[in-house]
Amino acid sequence: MQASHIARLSAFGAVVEITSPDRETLEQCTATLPGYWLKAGDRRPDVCFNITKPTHEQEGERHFLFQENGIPLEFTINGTQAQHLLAKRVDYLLGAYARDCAFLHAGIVVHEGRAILIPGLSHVGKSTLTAALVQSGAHYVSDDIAVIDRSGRAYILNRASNLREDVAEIFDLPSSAHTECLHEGTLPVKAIMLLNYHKSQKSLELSPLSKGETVLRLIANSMNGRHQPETVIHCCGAAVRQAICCEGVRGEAKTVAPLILSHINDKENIDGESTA
Amino acid sequence: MANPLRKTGLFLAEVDEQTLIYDATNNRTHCLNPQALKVWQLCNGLNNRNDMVLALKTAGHDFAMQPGDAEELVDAALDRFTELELLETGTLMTRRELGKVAVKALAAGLVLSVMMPTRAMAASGSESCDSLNEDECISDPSCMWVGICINNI
Repeated sequence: MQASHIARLSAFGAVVEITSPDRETLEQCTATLPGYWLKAGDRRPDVCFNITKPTHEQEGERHFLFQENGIPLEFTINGTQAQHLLAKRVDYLLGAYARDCAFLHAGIVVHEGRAILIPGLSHVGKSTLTAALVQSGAHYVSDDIAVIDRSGRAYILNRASNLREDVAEIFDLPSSAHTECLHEGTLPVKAIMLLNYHKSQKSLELSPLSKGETVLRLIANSMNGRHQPETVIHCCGAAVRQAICCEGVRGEAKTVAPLILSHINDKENIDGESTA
Repeated sequence: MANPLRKTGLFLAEVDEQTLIYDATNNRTHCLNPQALKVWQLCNGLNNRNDMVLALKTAGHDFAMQPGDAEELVDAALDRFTELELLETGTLMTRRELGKVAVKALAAGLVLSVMMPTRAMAASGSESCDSLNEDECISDPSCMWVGICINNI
């Protein structure tokens, strides 16, 4: 019987168990996970990863079998590939199994101390617009996932995945370490912008969106909505309460990013005056 | 046919003036505007359609609504509740029972609805329909908008 080493980790209520044939491989794999993954104790895991004993050695490198809930994902991967695969799968599954928060497909930047969300599923231009907003003066948090807590505040996380390299190159921005100037924690949501990119669109056309419909649109972009529907509705409902909510059509990201920031500022000033 | 009775066991949350309703039996979340909520509250098994019309005519000014619009509004709301399974089985209204076929645009505006995406849907990059009109609409089983085209809202 092969001796195995086990790590059980938890983040945002999701629990994963990682089993490895040796301590070194286990430590290397868990070290690649973001710092918010903490020891989970005896809680029942949502997902079990199993890195089996080396199947063979090739050019001095050990190769492993990688299983997720008993199903082989990759048969022969080296240690580095195992780390990357684990980080990728854990990140993906975290969104689905997270509790007490809403995991959303959304770009997120911080501007003047508050978060701006750009919800949207894959390939709608979130990364490009996020990068353009960063170039226009906002701070990068994530170009793919936003996490909202029960009070409607957005988490500022130092996640492993950062701005996509191809997008970073276009905007001449570094592809990592954008969150350096931001402290981890939560910030209120300043604006939620649901934008569709149309090639023919020259600039930016925005119209206000009701709070209720904004929640529906966030839900449609949620990752853990099926598992935690009431929590996701609650978190999204709390997020929209103080936020400027808009939908619209946008042209090129570089052109519209400064317009988005100035629109939010103008709207805030108008709302502030009317409140006063 | 029994009087309309709203479904029980739903999760409700208020956001601004709108009410969100989550139905775990079909994984749908609905957003009711104040007028739709009023009709839904009247669906208590005691009121028939005419009672509801009368109640809305009386409360018309609360919703910036003309008394003459009450009939159409009740029909549109009941039509939409039926379509979205927000009424108990056995109390669902058929379109023949309603005074006239509700105007779809009005019904859509009263209650918006989305499906909670599955993990696979959320990861696959499936999007809501982005066709500009119904003629161009590509039937997409992964579309999360229920019964209405997002562009016609």
